[in-house]
Amino acid sequence: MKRCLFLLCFMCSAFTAMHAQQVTFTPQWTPQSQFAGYYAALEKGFYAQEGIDVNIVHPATSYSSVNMLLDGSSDIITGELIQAMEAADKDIIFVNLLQTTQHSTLELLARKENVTSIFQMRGFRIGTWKVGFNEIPHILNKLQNLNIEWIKFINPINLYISGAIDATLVKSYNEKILFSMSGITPGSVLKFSEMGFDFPEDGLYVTEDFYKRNTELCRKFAQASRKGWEWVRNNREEALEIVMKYVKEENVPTNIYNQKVMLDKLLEAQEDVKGKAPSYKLSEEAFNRVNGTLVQYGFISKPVEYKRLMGGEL
Amino acid sequence: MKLSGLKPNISISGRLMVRVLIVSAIIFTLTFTLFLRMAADKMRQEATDNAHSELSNTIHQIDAILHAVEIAVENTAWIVPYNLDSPESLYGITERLLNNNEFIFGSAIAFEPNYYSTEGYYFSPYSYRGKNGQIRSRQLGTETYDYHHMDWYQIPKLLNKPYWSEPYYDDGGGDMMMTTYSKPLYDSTGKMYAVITADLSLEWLAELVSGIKAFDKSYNLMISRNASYIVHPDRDLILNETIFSSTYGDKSESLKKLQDDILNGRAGEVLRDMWGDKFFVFYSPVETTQWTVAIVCARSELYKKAKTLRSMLIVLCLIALMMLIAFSYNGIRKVVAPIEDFSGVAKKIAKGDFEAELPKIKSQDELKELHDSFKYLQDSLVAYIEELKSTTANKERIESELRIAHAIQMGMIPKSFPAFPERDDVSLSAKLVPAKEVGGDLYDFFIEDGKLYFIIGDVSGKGVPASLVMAVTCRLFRSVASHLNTPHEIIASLNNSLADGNDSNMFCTAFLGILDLKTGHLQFCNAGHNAPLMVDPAGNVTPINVVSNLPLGVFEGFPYESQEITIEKQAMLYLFTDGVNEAENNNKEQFGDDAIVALLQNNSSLDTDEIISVTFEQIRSHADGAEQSDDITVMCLKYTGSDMEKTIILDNDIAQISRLTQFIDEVGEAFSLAPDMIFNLNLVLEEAVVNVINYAYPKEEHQKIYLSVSMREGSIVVVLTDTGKEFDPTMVPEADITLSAEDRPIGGLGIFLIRQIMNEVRYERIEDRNVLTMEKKL
Repeated sequence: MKRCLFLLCFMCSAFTAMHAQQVTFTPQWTPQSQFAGYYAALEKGFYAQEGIDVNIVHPATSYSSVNMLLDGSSDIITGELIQAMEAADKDIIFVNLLQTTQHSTLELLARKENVTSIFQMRGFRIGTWKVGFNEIPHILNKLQNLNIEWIKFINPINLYISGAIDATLVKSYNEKILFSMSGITPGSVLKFSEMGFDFPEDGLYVTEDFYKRNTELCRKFAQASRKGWEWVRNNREEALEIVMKYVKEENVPTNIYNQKVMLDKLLEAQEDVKGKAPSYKLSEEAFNRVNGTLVQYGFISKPVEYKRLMGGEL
Repeated sequence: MKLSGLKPNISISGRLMVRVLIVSAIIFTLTFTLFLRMAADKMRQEATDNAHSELSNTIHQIDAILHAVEIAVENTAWIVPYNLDSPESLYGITERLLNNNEFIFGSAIAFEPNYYSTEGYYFSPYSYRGKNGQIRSRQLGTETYDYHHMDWYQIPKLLNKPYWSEPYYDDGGGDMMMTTYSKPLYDSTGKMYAVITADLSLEWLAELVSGIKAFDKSYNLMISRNASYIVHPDRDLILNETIFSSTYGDKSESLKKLQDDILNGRAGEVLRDMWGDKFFVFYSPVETTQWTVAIVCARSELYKKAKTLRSMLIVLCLIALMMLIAFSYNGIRKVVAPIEDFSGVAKKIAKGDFEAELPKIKSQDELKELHDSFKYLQDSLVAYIEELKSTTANKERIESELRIAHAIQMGMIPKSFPAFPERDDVSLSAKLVPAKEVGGDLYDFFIEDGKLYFIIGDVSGKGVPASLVMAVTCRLFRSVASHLNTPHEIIASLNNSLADGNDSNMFCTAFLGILDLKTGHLQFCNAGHNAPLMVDPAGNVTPINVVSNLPLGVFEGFPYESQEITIEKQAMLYLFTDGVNEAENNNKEQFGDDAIVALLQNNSSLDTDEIISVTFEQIRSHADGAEQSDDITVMCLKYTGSDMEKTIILDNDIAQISRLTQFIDEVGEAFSLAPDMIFNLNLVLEEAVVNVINYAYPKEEHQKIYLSVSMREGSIVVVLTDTGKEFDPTMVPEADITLSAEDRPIGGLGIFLIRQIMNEVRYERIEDRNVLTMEKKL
């Protein structure tokens, strides 16, 4: 009898293992605290608990996570809402599984002092990422004919220090910290969140097709990821250790101090209302705000349907 | 002995020591601190100079290598335009560069996108050293190696000048830290078409920088312009951390200065708090790349010598302080010891050893002054004591003499009372209490021929001078009184004697009396003395009406006059000096005349001795302890008359004759007289008294007639006194008994009768009185 029970158990576990779904997940960038929630979900077995076998593949600096989603080399990616909106305008629907960052972290650092508006940057050489994050300034540039020379960078620090650029776009949780840690005090800081572009940023996205085929998987992945982020929020020190493990694996030139500040900034940006627990949801209100602004500035030709982006209309 | 205000048990030397120590410690500490600070500054300066010198050497070496690379690139770059037609030939150029400079690890000529239509978007011929040192070449650019956005390409392009990239880890070249020198290449139109580069492995840099040995315990750093560690003892930090990573959020001035200097390629040094300690960071930039080489040294290391120096100085200071304590203790003890000796001497002097030996003082300072003062004190004390001895001896002698004088003076006055125990007609007591040993009061008395001579007096002033005058007066009284009969003569004689040669203007008040003990008739003369008091048998006290006159010795030849009264039997005469009525108590209240009168009224029944005692008792009681300021003398005499004497006072009225007759009967009975004698007395006295009643006074004038009958030495003595007009019956001619009664003149028969019966008839006019004395032998 005992032997039968053991056999049953073994078979059950084997069945479960056989049915664990394999998923390739790609964050936007090389390992850093920006993706701590996902690393934690994996390391702490939250994905496994949901029966998901997650393989994290980081993108190359010159090939974005969106590209990897589109070419099928990744199933689930992190991306910014505005990227999803841009794709949706081209009828490529990325379904939002989870909204992590609720506020804009985009900032402009200028060498010149007392710059209070992008309109004072006419003719500037401004650094921008080689991939992504630069939609809003582009819109502004176009509209106002600011004649800005956009200089694409992999890392803006040396460009800025050498004087090759006049200003640079940064993420408050990333490059801005690097500037501080390089001992650089920018002449001026402009925050897009304070300029009417407080858009939600990072979220989990899948293709509409993938979503249709693996709705339950997507739900479970989102659920486990959220659990990961919640764990990180409550276990920052341990989370940093996990992040540093990924950092070392990928040989990313960074340090724990940098990652700690990044994590703190990001967790703050995840809060819908400052000081309150995050909802991890893309609210229709925020979505509509982004939608309206993008349409207004002609970045997208027509409004994107909220429900569809949320995987509603299947 | 403790002086107030001083803390107990802390000696002068102790306090001096403490002060010396405190001041020395302060001076030592200040000097020490100043010296250490200067030494520390000097050490810091030397360390700084040393550090910067080391830095400078190293930087020169680095610059030399980097400069050599720059030259190698320059020397190669010019060839490129000549080979542009043949892209394949460009590999030869990059290989040549590697051959030209052994430090160069790789070299590329990276072209702008799509420069060669045949070569595609990316074209970058690249040569590098393989693992075996062999030079290899390949095309570098791919979609995954997008060199157009690499710093080494983009920055020189944007800056339009050669650029040293910040160090980075090369993925392809075997995990080596590299830097790339990039020089933009321009075509004839000035458009940049490519960048020629030289990759430099920085392994030698770590060796070079780590090799700096500025201090025993220090480590060296090199940081890029973006503050990343290029050289660091902990290799994990290299290119992963910046020097500001761990200080994120730190807004200290030293950090800001370090940031500014590193960013702007400036040399300098800062003091930083790190790992719970203070560290000096000396830094200097590499000229070519503006990377910063730094030496980090714990401040304690830098000041290690200063610390040793400080320890040595502390020990030295302590030794110096201890020596100072020892020397100053001895020194102060030496100075203070004589003071203690002086203290001992002072105690000896206090105990009477005026010759106590003083400490020897050789110095000429305050102690010498103290010594001299003590010496002077001793000498003065000895002299004073000698003088005191002599004075005391003198005083004792004088006191002894005064005691003798007192005894002599007291011996000059009668002191044995009752004065005349054998007599029954008079009782006399007196007492003299001088204020000092000797005094100026006097009294004296004696009886001669049935008369009591007495005197009381008060010499002006007190003490010895007064006592001398008193003695003279007493002596004169004795000698003069026995020769002269009347008080004023005696007084005048005394006055003249005292006034003669009285240069010191001494004078003496006196009351002198002669009392006829047979009759109670008192003659007296007053010389400026206070009036005696009369106490009659009924106890009434009245002052005797005296003529004041001048005191004795004031005015020679002054005409004194006598007065007289008759004292009733049992009447008392109270004489005193002004020491009695002027006796004062502590409130300066005098005893007063009223008190004397009251005393006498209340005690009139006492005998003379008791009156004297009561007087002194009351004076003592009044004085209540106050010092006696004047000599006090009281004399009290009570006239009792003899039992063989009878007196009667009659009015000048013929009706009194019956009283007279009765009186004579009483006398006859008292004296046991024979009836014929009584008859004769009756005859004589009636005749005499009627005479006085009828003729002595004017009609209707009421006057007294005093009659005294006494039996003495076998005789009956009759004294008849009146104050009527002067009439001497003895001068009346003998009556002519041959004539008829009608023809005989008035009175003549009475006198005749009196003469016939009595053996002796005398008349005296004393003052305003007629005194007729008659004697009849038995």
